[in-house]
Amino acid sequence: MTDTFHAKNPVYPLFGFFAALLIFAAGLATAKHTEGMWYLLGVWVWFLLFGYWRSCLVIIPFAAVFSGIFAGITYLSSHETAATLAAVSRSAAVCLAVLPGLSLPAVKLTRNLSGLHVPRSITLGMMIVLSFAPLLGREIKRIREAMRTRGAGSLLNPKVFYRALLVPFAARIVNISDTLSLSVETRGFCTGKAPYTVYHPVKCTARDVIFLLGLVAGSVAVIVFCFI
Amino acid sequence: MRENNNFDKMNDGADGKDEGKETLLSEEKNSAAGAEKDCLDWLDEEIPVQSENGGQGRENSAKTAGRDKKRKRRENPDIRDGVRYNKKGEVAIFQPFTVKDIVFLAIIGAAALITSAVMPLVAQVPIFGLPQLVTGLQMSVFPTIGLMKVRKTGSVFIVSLLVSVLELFMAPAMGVTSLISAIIIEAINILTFKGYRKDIACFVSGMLINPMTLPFYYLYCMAFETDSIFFKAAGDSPWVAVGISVAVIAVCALGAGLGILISREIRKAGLMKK
Repeated sequence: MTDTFHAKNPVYPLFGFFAALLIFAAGLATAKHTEGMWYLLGVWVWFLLFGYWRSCLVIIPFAAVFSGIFAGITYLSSHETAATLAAVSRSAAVCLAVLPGLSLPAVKLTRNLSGLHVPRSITLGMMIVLSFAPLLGREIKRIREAMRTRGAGSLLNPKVFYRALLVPFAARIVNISDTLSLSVETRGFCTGKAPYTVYHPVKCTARDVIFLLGLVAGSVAVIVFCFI
Repeated sequence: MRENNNFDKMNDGADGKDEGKETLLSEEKNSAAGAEKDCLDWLDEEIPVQSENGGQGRENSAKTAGRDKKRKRRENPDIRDGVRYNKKGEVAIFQPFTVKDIVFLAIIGAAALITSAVMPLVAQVPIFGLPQLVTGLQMSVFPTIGLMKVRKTGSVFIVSLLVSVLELFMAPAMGVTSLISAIIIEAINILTFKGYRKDIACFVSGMLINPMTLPFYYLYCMAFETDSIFFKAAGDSPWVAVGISVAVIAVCALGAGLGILISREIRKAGLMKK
């Protein structure tokens, strides 16, 4: 989750997770109906109203490209306009469902789960995955630059792919994990049942409840309208 | 109360103010140290509950730690040197995970996730199993490396759980199928190899991670998305679907083999201890 998408004041993390599931389910269920498109537009405006304006604007080009590719492939395979529009609606639903997760800083999600006494090994693992996924991407780029500098050859060569990319990357992963685990243990972290408190607990506010209730109401309304 | 020199500097920005927060240089921010700092700031923020003796300070912490260790050994006689034994005195199938294990598995999960970022590009091509084929190598190499280091039952489930946390936000169906297949793989491992002590167990589990999601994804499409392109592709040309599934298994077997070779090389180099 990059900083570009992070909202200044995201909703309660678990509500964001439920919102993602709800938008995904309702969007897929109503993909074939015109009302489904209006529902997705309403969800986008709802996010805009609750402070996700940066993510809402940044997601537009991604959603356009993603929907365009999906629609193109569907039209080429089916030659039906209705199926193509349904494909556009589905891909837009996926893009909107991703929005709460992308806008959520990893630390906030981890604090929320720690406050709910989720096992510490899981919260630590999640925090590491969310923090280190972009970093490992940069490590791969560095290894490829080193390969270019040394004239290692093309990645399509299996020997070069194995020896010059996979092995150094795996060695780098081991180094990073050893250093990180030492740092974590030095800070007194343990996976046992030692008591702890959270310095900045994440609390559910009225704003978060209104956000979720609005989404639930909209989802139920569009499903009822489409199927009854 | 544990001293924390960063107390004054801590401000998580929830109120939008960054005053007092240590600013990172752009280079540091991009480096492993930067990501580590972000991750560990969360740990620094946690306040330990004061102990019963009123917090004697760091001088007595070594004594209390030694006493706690002896007490734990008395209470858990089946755990010796971090290894759990069963009543027969044999090494138990389920071993406790240490912080080092969790950290390594999490980074393995992150590596598998970032290298599988090509999946959305092929997800819309109407060929059943194509996303699994494209991500098969990555999703078998890295988990196998993880299993070769952390040879404990439950490792595959932990990697899948951590990866599916992100997948649940993006594609809930894939997240759920990953978890279900991880549970089945662990069950297969327990019934056949009784743990990951042997390399063949790591190979088989690493090989099955991606192919095991295919039948569950098909069942999901059959139940909820009968008009999806994957379901239609499988129905229109079943032999293509079978062929792709066999190709997925072959690619994952290759990936698992590579994972074992890489971990043996790294172990020879002294970077990875068993």
